[in-house]
Amino acid sequence: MMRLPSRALFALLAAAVLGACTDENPVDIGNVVVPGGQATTFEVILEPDQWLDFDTAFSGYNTPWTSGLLVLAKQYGGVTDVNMLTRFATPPSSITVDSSGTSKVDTLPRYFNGYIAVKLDTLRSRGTGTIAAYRTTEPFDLPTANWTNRIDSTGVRRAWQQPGGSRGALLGRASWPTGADSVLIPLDSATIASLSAVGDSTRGVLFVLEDPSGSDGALVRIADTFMRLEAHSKIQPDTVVKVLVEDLGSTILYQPTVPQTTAQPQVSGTPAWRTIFQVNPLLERLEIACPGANCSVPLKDARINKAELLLEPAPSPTGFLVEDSIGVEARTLVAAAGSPLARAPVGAPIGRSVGKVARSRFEPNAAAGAPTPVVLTDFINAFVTDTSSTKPRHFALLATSTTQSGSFGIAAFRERPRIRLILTITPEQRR
Amino acid sequence: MKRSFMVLALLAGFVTTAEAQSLFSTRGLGTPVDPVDARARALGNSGIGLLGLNGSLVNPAELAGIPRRGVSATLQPFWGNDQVDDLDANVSGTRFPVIQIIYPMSERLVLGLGYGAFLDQSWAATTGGTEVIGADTVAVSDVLRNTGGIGQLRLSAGYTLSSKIALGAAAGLYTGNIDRSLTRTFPDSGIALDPFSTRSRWDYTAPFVTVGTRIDPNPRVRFGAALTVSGNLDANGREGPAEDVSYELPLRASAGMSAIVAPRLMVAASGNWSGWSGDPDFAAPGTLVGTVAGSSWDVGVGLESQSLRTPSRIFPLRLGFRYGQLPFHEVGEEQPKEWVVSGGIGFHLAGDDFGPLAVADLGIERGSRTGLGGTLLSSGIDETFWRVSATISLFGR
Repeated sequence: MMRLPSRALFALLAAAVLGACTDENPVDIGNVVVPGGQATTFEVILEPDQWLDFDTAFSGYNTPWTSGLLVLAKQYGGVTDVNMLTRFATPPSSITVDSSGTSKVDTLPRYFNGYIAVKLDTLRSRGTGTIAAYRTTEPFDLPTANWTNRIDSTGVRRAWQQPGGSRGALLGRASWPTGADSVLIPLDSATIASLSAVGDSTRGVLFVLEDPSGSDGALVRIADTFMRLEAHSKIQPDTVVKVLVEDLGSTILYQPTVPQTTAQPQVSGTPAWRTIFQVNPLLERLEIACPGANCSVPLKDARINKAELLLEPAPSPTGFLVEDSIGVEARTLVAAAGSPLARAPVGAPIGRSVGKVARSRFEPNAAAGAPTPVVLTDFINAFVTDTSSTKPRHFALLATSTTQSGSFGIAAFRERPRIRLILTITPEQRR
Repeated sequence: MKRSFMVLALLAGFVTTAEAQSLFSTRGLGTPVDPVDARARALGNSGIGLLGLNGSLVNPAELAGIPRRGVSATLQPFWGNDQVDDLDANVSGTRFPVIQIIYPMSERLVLGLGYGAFLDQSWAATTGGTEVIGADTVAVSDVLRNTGGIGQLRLSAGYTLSSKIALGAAAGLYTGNIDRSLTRTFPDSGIALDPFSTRSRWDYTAPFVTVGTRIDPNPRVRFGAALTVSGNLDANGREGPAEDVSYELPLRASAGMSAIVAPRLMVAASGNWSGWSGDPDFAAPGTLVGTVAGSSWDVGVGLESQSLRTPSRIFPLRLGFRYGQLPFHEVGEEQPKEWVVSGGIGFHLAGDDFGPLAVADLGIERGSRTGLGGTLLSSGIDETFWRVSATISLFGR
C-alpha cells in the first residue's frame, strides 16, 4: 500500500481554497429580476423656519484702501458719488542721458511737459462723463481718508474743508468714454512742479467724475494711474527724456455710506459684505415628507444627494448696483465663544454658486428669475449626521475670492432663503 | 489530528466569505445548498443511506463504524447562465458545502464536528431607471449586492448499536450573516448628485437537532433516515438600518438507501422533504416584498461502478439524476424547481486493510432551474449551470 501523500494533498486543498475566493460581478438584468423601489430619490424644499435660526449681513471686511478697488462715480444710481484720491511719487531728482556714447547723470533735470494717465476698466464702467483732476489742498492720510475726513484714524480725525476732498487747482479734464481704454490729462511744467514738492503733505490729486449722463449717473472703474513726464537735461539739451512716475497709493472717497449690518443677505462691495447663517441645531430631527401615502423619514436617516441654498437675487442698495456679474461662495465660520460672530474668521470653502449671478438680476425692478443655487451638500450632510452639541452651526456667504474685493456695488438677496434637498431613502427607512 | 484542525479552521474562515450567485438567491432566504460531498453529488444523492464512506452532514448515524480519525472537505465551483425573456447573464461562484472532522471515540462511538452549507444568499444585480426630481427627470443606476448565507455548525455522534443498526444524533446552530448593500449613482446627471449608498448587516442564529438511523440488513444493503428539527432563525440587525427579523425553519426529513445489485455495481436512491410553512413571511432581511417559503421535495437516484481499477487502486465511476424544488418565491410567483444529471469519479489514493487513508472524489453536474414566473417575471427565470464538487478526505493511521 502506498504512503499517504498528505502534505501534498493538504497544500493542494489550501491552494484551492485560497484560489476559489473571488469577487463576483453584478448581473445586468437586475431590472427584471429584482423588484423596483429599492430606493427612492426625491426633492424637498426646506422653508427657512425649518432650517434657519437667523441670517444677518455684516459689512466692513476690508476698507477702500486695503481693497485696492478704484472707482469714480457721479450720481450713480441717482445718489452715489465716488472720488479718487491719489498721491504720486515725486519725479526722480536725477536722470541719465547719453552723451557721445557715454551715460551721464544729470541731477538737475527740467520737467517741462507730461500727462496723467488714467487706465480704465471699460467692461465694468457705466454711463459717460468727464474725468477731472484737481490738486489737493490739505494734508491727508490715504489709508484712512474718507468722504468726510481727510484723516480718520484711531484718536485722530480731521475733516475735509470740502466733503469729498478739498479741491485746489484744476489740473485737467478728459471726457469719457473716448473709445480707448485710458484718458490722458496734460500737465505743464508748473503743475508738475507742484506735484513734485518733496515734504508737501498736501501733495496729491483728487479725481472727480463730472457731468454724468442720464438719471442713473455714471461709474468708471479705474485700473491704474500714473504720470508720464518729459524732461530736458543740460548735458544734452536736444534730448527729451521720458520718465514714468507711479502712484504711491490711491483710495476712494464715497457717499452716501450704508448701514453696517442688514437682515438682507448681502455680499461683495467695498468695504466687503458677508452674510452669516446660523443653522437650526435640530435639523437632523426634521421629519421629511417622502413620496407615498403617510410617508415620512427623519432627515438624519436619509442620504442627501444634493443640498442647495436657493438665493434669490434682490435689488442692490440704491446707488450700489454691482458693476458686473457676481460669484458667491459659502465658507465655514470659525466661531469662538465670547467673540462676536461678525468678527469670526472664515474657514475653508464649502460650496459656491453654479456660475455667476448676472448684474441685471440686481437692478431695481429686476424681474424675479430662477434662484441661484449654492451647493452645500457636504456641509449639510455633515451637519445632520453629527449629533454632537459642538458641531459647527454657522456658515458665511461671501463673494468669491475673485470678486470679493473687486466690486464697489453690493449683491443683495432676499431674506431667509430656502434650501433644496435631493434625498434618497430605502423602503425600510420610511415611517 | 493537528493538521485536520488546521484544515477545518482554514475552510471555516472562508465558508462565509466565498461568494456564490444564482438569481434564484434573490428570493427569500436564498437557494438551499445541501451539505453533501462530491460522491453524493455525483450519485444524485441527498447524502444519506450510502454504502461506504459518506462525508455528508446529513445523517449522524452514518458516522458510526468509521475506524479512523480524519477530515473531509468539499470545494464546489459553480458557473451558470440565467435567461429572463430575451435577456441573459452569466453567474458564477464558489462554495464550500461541507467540512467535517471525524473522531472515533471507541469502536462503537464516532464523533464528528462539521460546518456545512444551508442557504446561499449571495447575489448582485444592477438595475436602472429614472426618478423625477423636481422639474428634472434623472437617470439612476442601482447596484444591489447581497453577500453571505447561512451555514450550520454541528456536533454529531454516531453509535453502532449492532452490526446492522447504528443510531445518530447531532446538535448545532445555524449561523451566518448577510451583508446587504445598495449603491445608487446618477449617470449622466446634469445636476451633479452625490451617490447614495447604504449597507446593512444581519447575523443569523438558530438551534437545531438531528436524529438518524442507519440500518444494514446485510453487508450489501443500507438504509438511512434522519429528521431535523429547528428553532426559529433569528436575523439580528448589526449594522445600518437593519431591523431584527425571525423566520420559522422547517422540519426536515431525509431518507435514502443503497444496494450492491451486481458485482462492483451499486444503486442508490434518496429523498428530502422540507416542511416550510408556506406563509408569506420570508422576505429577505431588509426587504418588504411578500415572500413565500413553500414545502419542497427532492429525490435522486444514482449508480456507482467499481469496475475501473488497477491492481492497487479503485476508481469508482458514478452517474446520477436528481429532481428537486426550491422553497422561496414571491407571492404570486411560481415555485422554482431544479433537475440535475451528474457524473463523477473517485480516487482511492491510499488505504490499508482497515479502511481508506486518502480519498478524493470529483462530481460534475449539469443542471437547470426554472421558475419564478408571475407578476414581475412573466416567463420566470431559466437558469442552466455546471457545478463541480471536489472532496478530499484524509485519515490518520
